[in-house]
Amino acid sequence: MAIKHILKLILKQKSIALLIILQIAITVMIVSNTVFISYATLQNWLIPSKLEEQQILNVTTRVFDTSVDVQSLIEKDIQAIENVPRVVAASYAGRELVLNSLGPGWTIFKDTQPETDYSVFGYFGLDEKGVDVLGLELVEGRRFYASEFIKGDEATKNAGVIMISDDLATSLFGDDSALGQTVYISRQRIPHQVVGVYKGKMLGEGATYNQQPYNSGVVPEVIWGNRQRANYLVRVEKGVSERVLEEVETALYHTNGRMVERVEFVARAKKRLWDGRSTFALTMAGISIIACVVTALGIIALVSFSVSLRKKDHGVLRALGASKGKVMWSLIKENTILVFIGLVLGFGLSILLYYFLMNNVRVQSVVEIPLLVGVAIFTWLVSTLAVYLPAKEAAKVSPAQVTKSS
Amino acid sequence: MKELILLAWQGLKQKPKLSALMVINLAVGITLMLTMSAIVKQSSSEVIGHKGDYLYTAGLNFFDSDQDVVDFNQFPRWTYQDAEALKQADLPYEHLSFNYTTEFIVGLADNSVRPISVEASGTDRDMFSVLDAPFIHGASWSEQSQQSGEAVAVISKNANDHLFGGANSVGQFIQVQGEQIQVVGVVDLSNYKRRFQDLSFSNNYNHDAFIPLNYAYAQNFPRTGQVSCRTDDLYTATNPRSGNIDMLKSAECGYLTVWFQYQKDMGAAHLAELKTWLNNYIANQQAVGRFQHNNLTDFYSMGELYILIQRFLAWEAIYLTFSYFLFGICLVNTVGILLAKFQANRKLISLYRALGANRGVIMKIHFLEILMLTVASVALGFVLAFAGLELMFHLRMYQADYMAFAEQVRQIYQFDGELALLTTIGIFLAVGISGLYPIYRSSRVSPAAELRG
Repeated sequence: MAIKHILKLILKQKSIALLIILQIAITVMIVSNTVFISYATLQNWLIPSKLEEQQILNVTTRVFDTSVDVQSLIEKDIQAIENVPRVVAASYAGRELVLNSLGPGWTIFKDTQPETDYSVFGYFGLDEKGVDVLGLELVEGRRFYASEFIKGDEATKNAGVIMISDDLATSLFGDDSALGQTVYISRQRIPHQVVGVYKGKMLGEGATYNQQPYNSGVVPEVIWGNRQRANYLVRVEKGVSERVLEEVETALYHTNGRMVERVEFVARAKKRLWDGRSTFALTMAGISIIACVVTALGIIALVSFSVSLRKKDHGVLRALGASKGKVMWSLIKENTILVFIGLVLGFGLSILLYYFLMNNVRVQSVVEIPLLVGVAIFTWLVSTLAVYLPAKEAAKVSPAQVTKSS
Repeated sequence: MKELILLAWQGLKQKPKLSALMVINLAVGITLMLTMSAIVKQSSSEVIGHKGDYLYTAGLNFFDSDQDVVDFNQFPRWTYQDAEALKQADLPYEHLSFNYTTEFIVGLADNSVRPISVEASGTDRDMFSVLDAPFIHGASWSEQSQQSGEAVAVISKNANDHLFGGANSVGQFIQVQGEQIQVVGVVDLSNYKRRFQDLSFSNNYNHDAFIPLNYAYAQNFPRTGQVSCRTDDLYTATNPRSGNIDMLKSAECGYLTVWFQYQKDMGAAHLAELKTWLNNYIANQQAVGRFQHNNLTDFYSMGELYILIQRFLAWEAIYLTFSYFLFGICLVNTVGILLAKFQANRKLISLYRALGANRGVIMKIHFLEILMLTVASVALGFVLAFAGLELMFHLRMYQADYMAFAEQVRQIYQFDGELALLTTIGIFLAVGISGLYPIYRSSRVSPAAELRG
């Protein structure tokens, strides 16, 4: 049937057409924004961590009894952890844990000028085994000398040397080599000399939030006393099951004056990074599915009604020689035109909602043309499927039956 | 009437697919709307909500004039010296209470249970009145213990369950940082959906211990809530979170949250007196160079705070808006389904008319039919909404990475009788109204006209 005819038919049943268009538009608005948000969340999820997420453990413990000798506790703990089967090595972790900053993020500067911009980075104070626990690969310079490692309580002076990731080196010094340069940590601008550069991994929580996931630095320091913490990073063999978490906890548990807060794979800390956003994306996805179902039901209902009103027309068509397929096809074409109008309207609404969400709720969302095309095709498919059922009924009308009266 | 119901039942069975379609369609819309509106309603209601217009908190801004301080969230907390000045002032109120949030590890001296890390509140006796705290054992500490900063504590039911297996622990001792603290009371705050006392509005955890401020100072328990100083340098120098307490007491670093509870009906008048006093106090202090900002004070009643925190609920508000949208669409669909259904029933209607049923009877039959379908939809909707709330609860726990007190979080994912009733009435009205046109249309079928073919 010619498009002109279909348009005429649509105009004849204006209100039904309008309702279908409106439903499509609102559904498109909801679905496309869900897709934008989910896509942005997925992009975060898909940032490669370059880490062996199931081979590194974060261990957080708190020493609450002030009379405990922390230094000997740390030594005993590391011994105990390394005695657990399939543990490769353990290091004290003085500042951040992997993807778990335990406080505000750290800043690093390339000089002491007040107006210099800083970079956010993951800041790790580790012992002799630290570099291997994290599996860092040297690109330039050297590892720490044994003499550079310092141990002590909060009053201990900083080691003054640092290994940084290649990404941090680039963000601070551009194409110049960072080796031998001095970098300044935190607002107090504590100077550290760069002795080595390693391949960047996703280590710092604050850095990742600041879209600089691979910025990090390691200092050869075992400094304790910071809010009673005694934390460790542990490397385990490949393919170790969750049971190792319990075994490590048990190894540390029987110490008086200290509690084990958490033993977890880095993978879990990484999951936590995006929890808020992924929950929003999941809920929106749920609402989208409901929107699609509701719209599909609506189209079924409205097309059923419109078909039942036009039973006679379809009978006439059949009597004039139209095949069943042709009758169905004309209904699908009719619906496609409505879907198209609804899509145009819906995309307009989507963009409005997108700006509303960006301005009023701090959500991450990206408008991408291929996503819109995907939503368009999906919406058309759902609506066509919905039309198919009543259309099949309509096509069943036998030619002779309808024409007999009046 | 019985006949009409029977006829309506017949009508239902006439087009079972369309009937099922209508029930599913409405139930989906109802589920989403009930789930989201329950969450939003529960999130923005509070156990002590009735104190909305006579419980106040106030902000006093000592920041430099170039700091951005537009609304209450950005206001610094009270400094020690300002809080002391306020306590000395002769002002009318029922309760004046200060608190700061801290964190420590609680165990027992005999190491018989595993120690737990708790968030606690350094506060005064008045806090329990402000909170209307339901004591299950014991009571608040005495005025004298408060003054002398004795080692006493009120602990939460949660902590009591963990440490003492739920037994009456009044008189027993807990151990914090090597010190013995005597338990004087146990409160059950699990009905409190949010921790409003330190303005964190956290739904994950409430305070698990309350200790007298003077004791907290003596032990220098760290200040882990919101803390800010007049300048960054001062912050670095004072280290207000865990630094020297005497230095903090004289520094311009704020960490205390204040509450004023007034007598009912006297709120406005007494608040005006507070404002006058504060203006005088500020004027005096300005003489010595403090308070240079152009936005110095702010006051919020409990009711206003709950309007303010709607802002944190932006996501929930979006879900709710969408759920209303979708319910609207479901109603439109209902009209479509009913039209299709009654259109298909024209022959039957025509027959009834021919047999003597007038338009009123036809309308009644159809109205009953819609009523039956709506009852079924609402029932299904409620069942699904329970599942929906459960799902949202688990999603929320997932979001908190299971680091939240489930019992407290669950408070938000619950039905509320009033809401359920109002929504049900609303649904019946909405469906009734949207059914009017199809009912009217179907009653226009002329007798016998449809019987020809």
